[in-house]
Amino acid sequence: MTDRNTFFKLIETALLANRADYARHTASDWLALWPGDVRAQLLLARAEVQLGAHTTALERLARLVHVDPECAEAYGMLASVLRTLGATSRALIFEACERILMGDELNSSRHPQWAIKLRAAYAELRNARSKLPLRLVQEALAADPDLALPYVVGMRAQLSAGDPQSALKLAQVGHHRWPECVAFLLMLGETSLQQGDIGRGVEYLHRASSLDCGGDLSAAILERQPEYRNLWPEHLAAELSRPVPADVASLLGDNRLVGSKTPEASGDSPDMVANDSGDAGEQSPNLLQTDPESPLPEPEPWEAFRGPDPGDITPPEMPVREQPEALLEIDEDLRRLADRLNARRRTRDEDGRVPAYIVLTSRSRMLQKMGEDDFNHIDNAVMRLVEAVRRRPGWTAYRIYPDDPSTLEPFGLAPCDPGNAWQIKLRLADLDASLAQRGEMIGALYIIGGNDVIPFHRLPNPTDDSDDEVPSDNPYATGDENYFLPEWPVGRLPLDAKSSTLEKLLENSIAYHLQTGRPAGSLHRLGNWLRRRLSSFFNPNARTLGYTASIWKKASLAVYKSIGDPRSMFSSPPVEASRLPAGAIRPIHLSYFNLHGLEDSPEWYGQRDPLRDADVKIEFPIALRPQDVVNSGRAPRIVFSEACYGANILGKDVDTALSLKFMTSGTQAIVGSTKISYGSITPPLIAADLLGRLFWQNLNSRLPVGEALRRAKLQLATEMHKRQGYLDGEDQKTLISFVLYGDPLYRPGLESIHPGEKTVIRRSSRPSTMKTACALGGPQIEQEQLSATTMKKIELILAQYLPGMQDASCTIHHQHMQCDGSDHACPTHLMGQKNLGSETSSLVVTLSKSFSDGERTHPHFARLTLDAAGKVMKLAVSR
Amino acid sequence: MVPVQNPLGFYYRPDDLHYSQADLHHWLGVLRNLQIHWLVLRGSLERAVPREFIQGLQLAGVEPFIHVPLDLQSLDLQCIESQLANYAEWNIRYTVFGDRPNQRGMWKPSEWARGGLVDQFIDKFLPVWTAQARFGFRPVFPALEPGGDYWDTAFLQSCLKSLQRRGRSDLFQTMILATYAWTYDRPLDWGIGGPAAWPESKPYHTPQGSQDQRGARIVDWYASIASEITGSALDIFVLAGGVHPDNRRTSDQETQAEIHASLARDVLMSEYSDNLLGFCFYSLSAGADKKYIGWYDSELASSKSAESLERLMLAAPETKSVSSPIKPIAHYLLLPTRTDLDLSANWRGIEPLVMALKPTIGFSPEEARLARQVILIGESDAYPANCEHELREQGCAVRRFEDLESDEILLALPELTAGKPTNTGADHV
Repeated sequence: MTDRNTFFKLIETALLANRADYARHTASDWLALWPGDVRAQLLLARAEVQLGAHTTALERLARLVHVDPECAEAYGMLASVLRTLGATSRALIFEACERILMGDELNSSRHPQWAIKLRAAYAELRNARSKLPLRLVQEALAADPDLALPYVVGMRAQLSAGDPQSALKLAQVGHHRWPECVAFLLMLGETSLQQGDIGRGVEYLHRASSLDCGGDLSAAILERQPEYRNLWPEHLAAELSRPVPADVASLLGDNRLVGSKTPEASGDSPDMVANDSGDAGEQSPNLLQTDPESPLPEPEPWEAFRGPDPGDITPPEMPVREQPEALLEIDEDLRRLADRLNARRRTRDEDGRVPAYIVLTSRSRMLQKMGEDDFNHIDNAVMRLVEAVRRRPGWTAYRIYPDDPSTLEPFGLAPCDPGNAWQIKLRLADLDASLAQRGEMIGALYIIGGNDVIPFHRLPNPTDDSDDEVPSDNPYATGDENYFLPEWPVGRLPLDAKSSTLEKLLENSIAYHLQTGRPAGSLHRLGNWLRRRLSSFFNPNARTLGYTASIWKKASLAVYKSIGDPRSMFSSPPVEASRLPAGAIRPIHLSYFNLHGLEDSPEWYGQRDPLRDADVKIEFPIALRPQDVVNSGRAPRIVFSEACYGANILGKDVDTALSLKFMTSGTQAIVGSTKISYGSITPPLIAADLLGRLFWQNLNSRLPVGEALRRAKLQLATEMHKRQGYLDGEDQKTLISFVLYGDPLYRPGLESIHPGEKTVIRRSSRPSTMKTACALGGPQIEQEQLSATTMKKIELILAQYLPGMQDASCTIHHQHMQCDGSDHACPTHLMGQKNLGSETSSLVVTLSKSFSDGERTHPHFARLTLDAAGKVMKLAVSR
Repeated sequence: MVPVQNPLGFYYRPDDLHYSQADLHHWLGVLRNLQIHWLVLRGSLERAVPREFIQGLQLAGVEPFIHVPLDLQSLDLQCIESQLANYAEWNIRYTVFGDRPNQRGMWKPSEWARGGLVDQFIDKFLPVWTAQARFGFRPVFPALEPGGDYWDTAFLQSCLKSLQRRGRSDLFQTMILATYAWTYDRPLDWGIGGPAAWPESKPYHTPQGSQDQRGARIVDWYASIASEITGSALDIFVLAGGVHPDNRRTSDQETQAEIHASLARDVLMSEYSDNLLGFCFYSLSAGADKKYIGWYDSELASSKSAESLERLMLAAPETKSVSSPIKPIAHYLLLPTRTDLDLSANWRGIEPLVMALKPTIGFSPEEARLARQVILIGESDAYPANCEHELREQGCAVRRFEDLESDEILLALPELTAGKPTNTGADHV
C-alpha cells in the first residue's frame, strides 16, 4: 500500500514529466478507494486538462467547487477550460471567483458587480476586520450567481460578526442547494450537536469526513475539536495499479531499478520489473516507499536528474495525442475502475441521492382477490424482496401499499384509493419528495399485481386507430405530469390470479437479488470477466432468438443485429407455430419478436411479404401460440415483442395472453405494447423498432431491464425530436403503450453488482413538458384536396411497401403542435397546449383496413406523414 | 411464586476455543458457586458453539447468550441463518451478531470514508435482525464502543431512527440493546440519570463538571435514547462490564474487587433500569493469549473480584435468585416402565395426545426433568416411587392421565396445547 503523500508526489511528478496519462491512472487508483479526496480530484482534473479531456475536467471541477467553494485553483482551471471550450462569459465568472480568493483585483468592466462586492467582503474577512461589510455580502447573495462561494463567505462573515443564527440560516440554505459543500456540513454538524440533535450532528460531520477524507477542508475544525478526528479515516493508503514509468521515476530522482543488481528488484516480481529499453521502462511502486532517512542512491553513469524542461531534449511525446488507441484503452480502464470502485464520473445533473426500490401493491385489493392467508404469504415475500434489495450495494428498498397506513406513515403519506391510478401516482410523487428529505429517491418501482390490483393509467390515444385509450404504467414513472419521459424504471408483476404463482415469481426475484447483491469474490469476478471476454469466441449469438413477420424482415434485422446474428433470425412465413424449427425452441436468453398481435386472440401472427413470399397462400400464418412457450428452462429470460397487444393482459389469463404465459414459464422480463403498436417497414427505424433496438443496446451495456427500457424511451424521444422537432402520434403511443412485466432491476446473468456501480441514474433536471403534435380532430381533409403529385407519391409508396393497403379507407388531418381538444382527447391537449394553431404544415394520412383469414379479422393501420410539399416524411405501420 | 431471575452473568472467554466437555465440567462448579444466570459464549461464523456445551449449561440453569463478533466486511447472511437454525433447535434464546460497529477499525477504510455509515450498517444488519426474529430469537443490536469513533449515542439514535424510517418499528417490540458497561476508573454512578441529567454533555465533548455515558451507567443513556425514539424502553443486556480489561492488570486487585462487588450489589438490588436483562462481567477466564486477566485462572484459582462476588452471593441470600434449570423440552410423554403393562393396547388412547403435542417420548425420568411439562399415563404405581413428586420438585408441570379409555385426554387437549398446565410447576422465565 502506498500512502497519500507518496501518491500525490507521484501524480504531481507525472504531471511535471508530461505524463498526464500516468497521472490520471494514479489519481484514479487513489480516488477509486478514496472518492472524497478533494486534493486528488483536483490533481485528476489537472491531468484531464493536460490530456484534453475538457468536458470531463469541467464536470469534475464544477463538482469540486461545490464541495470546496474556496478552492481558487479549481476556479482558475474552470475558467481556463471554459475559455478553451469557447464559453468565455462563464469563464469570466470563475475567473472572478479565483481572483476573489487570491485577493487579486477585479476589472469592473469585465467582471460582474456581485463579484467585485464579494471580493471586497472576502478581503475584509481575511483581514479579520472588526466591522465587516455584511452589506457587500448581501448584495452578492442577492445577485444569486448559482455559486456556493457567496454563501460560504456570508456564513463566515456572519460568524465573525458574532451572529451565529444568521450564519446557520445561510448554511441551511446553502446546504439545501449544495448538499456536498463541506463548509456547510461542518457548520450544521457542530450546530446540531450544540442543540442536542446528536444523531444528525454526527451524521453531518461524518458526511463531511466522507467528502473530505484527507481533512484538507476541515483542518480548522479538527484543530479546534481534535476529538472529531476519529470520524475521519486514518492511514489513507491505496495500491498503485501500474508501475511507475521510467520518465516519472527519473524525475522523482530515485530510479534505481534499471541499474539495480539486487535479486529483490530483478527477479521476484517479473510483471512489475522494467525492461531496460529506456522509455518503456517501468519501476516497481514498492520502490517509492524508500526510507527517507536512507542515503540517496548513487546515480548510475547514464542517469541524470532532469527538471521539467531542461531544454536539451525533445520533450516526451504525449502518447495520447499520437496513439488514440492508447487513450481509448486508458479510458476503458478508467471506466472499468470507476464502475468497480465507485469512482464513476458523474454527469453534470446526475441526482446523487440514494436510489430506493419501491415495491407497490394494494393490500385491500390483494386481500379481496386472494384472502388473508394467501395475502400474508405475498406480503412476507414482498418484505423478503425488500430486504434482499437492501443488500444490494448502494440501494435501499421499501414496500408501499397506498391503502395501508402502516407502510405510508414513515413517509408522512396519507392512504388513498387503490383503484385510482392518479391518486397512486400522486402518492409516489409525494413519496419521492419525502425520500428526498433523507437523501434518497425513487430508483425503481416494482408493481405487484395486474390491473385489478394496481390499475393501469388510461391515457388518451394519440393516434386515430381503433384504440379508445392506452393502458400505461408510464405515469407511475414520473413525479410530474410529463409521462412521456420516465424518471425512474417501472416494472410490473401482472399475475395475481394464483397466489402460489405470484409467490413463486417473487421468490425468483428474491433469489436473484440475493445472488447478485452479495459481494463477488475475486475468483468470481475473474470468472465473469473471462466469460464476457471469451464468449465472443464461442458462438456469441447462441442464446438469442429473432422472429419476425416476413414483411418486416428488413426493419427487424436492423433491430435484431444488436443481440444476434441476423442470419439466424426466423421469419413467418415460412416458419409457423405448428412447425417451429429446433433453433426456436432451444433454451434462449434474449428473444425479439416482431409479429402481429390481435386484441382478442392469444396468438402472434406472421405476414406474407408479397414480393418475397409470392407462392405462400396464407397471408397471416400463426407464428406463436401460448402452448409453444414451454418452461423446462427453455423460456427466454428476456422478451421484447413489438406485436400489437403484445402486453395486453386486460381480461386475460396465461392461456389467452402470451405475455402472461411467458412470465409463468420462467421469463424474467417481457417488454410489449398494451395496444396497437407501430413500426417501420425498412430502416430508418421508428417507433417500436427504434425502441427495440435502443432497448437491446442498453441491455448490452449491462443495464437492468427497467433502466434499459426507460433510457430507450428517453433516447427515442430525443431522436424523434431531433428528426422532427416534436413527438408525433405514433412516437407518443410507443412511449406510453410499451410496458415492462418483470422486476425492473433484473439483468441477464448472475453477476454481482459491483460496489459503487450505478445501474440506475436519475437526472436532477428534466423538461416538464414535451413538444408533441396532434393529428386528431379538426376539419378532415378530403383526398381530393391533395395535389395529384402527392396522391401519386402515396400510391407509389403503398404499391411498393403496402400493396394490400391500396384500397384502404383513408383519413387526412393537419398535424398541429397546439390542440384545443374540442372534439377528442389527446396528450397534446391534456398537457396544456390548448390553442389551436401553430400547425406543423404537415399532414397525417391514416389508412385502415381489415383483413379476414376466415376465423380472425386483422385490422391494419398505416400512417403517412407528409410535409408541406407533399413529400412522405414517415411511414409507420401497425404491428 | 415465580423466582426472580438473577441478572448477573459472565462473559466466558475472549476466544471460542474452549468448549469441550472437560471445559464444561471444569467451569460448572464455579458457575454453580456463583449462582449466576447468564454466560456469554463467544462464537464465530466458522463454527457454532457445540451443542453439548450449551446443553450442559442449560441443565445447570445457566442461560447461554451467544456472541458472534463477526467481521462487518464479510457478513454472510446464509451462514448466520444456518447458525440461527441450529441454535434455535438447541433451545438457545439469545444471540448477538457483530461487535462495536461504531469503531473505525471494524470497517473497511473506504467504507468508513463513504457517507451514510448508519444506513450502510442498517443495510447490513436489518437482514440479520429479521432472520433472528424469523427463527424465534429476539433481535439484538450489537454492543457499541462507549464513546467510540462514531459517537455511540449518536450512532444508536440514528440507527433506531433509520429503522423507524424504513418502516421496521415492529423490531422494537422485541429488540434488545447489547452494550458494554466498563467503569473506566470512574465512580460507579458516573453518568447516572442519562442525558436528561447531563444535558451539557455532547458527543466528543464532556465539559468539566459534567458526565457522560462512558461508565457503568451507560444503561441509563441507552434506555433514554431508545425510549425517546421508540416510545417504549428496550431491554438492555450488558454483554461485558466491570473494570475495563485494559485496566485490570494495572489497577490494584482489592480496588477491583470492591468495584465489582458494588456493581454486582447494585445490579442485584435493581438499582439499574428495569429493562436491564442481564449484566455480565468480563471475563470468567482469560483468553489463550493471556492478554487479559480472567476472574479465575485455569486452575480455578479465583481472583479477589471472584472471591468478593462469591461472598456477596453467600451473604446476601435475600437478593440472590434461584436459578431455575433451563428446560429445553416443551412436552415429555413419560411412558411407564413396569414390564407387566401392555403399552400397545393403550397406544390408540395416547395417539391424539401425541399428534397434538408432538412430545418427546421416552422412559427416562431423568430426561423428563428437562421438560417444562411431563405427561404420565396410567396409575401412579406404574412409575418409580416418588417419580411424580421429584418431577414437580424439578419445576416440571406434571399431568397424569389414568384412564386412557375415557375421553379425558381429548378434553384436556385444548388446555395442554395452549400451554397452560393445570398442575403448577415452577414456570420457566
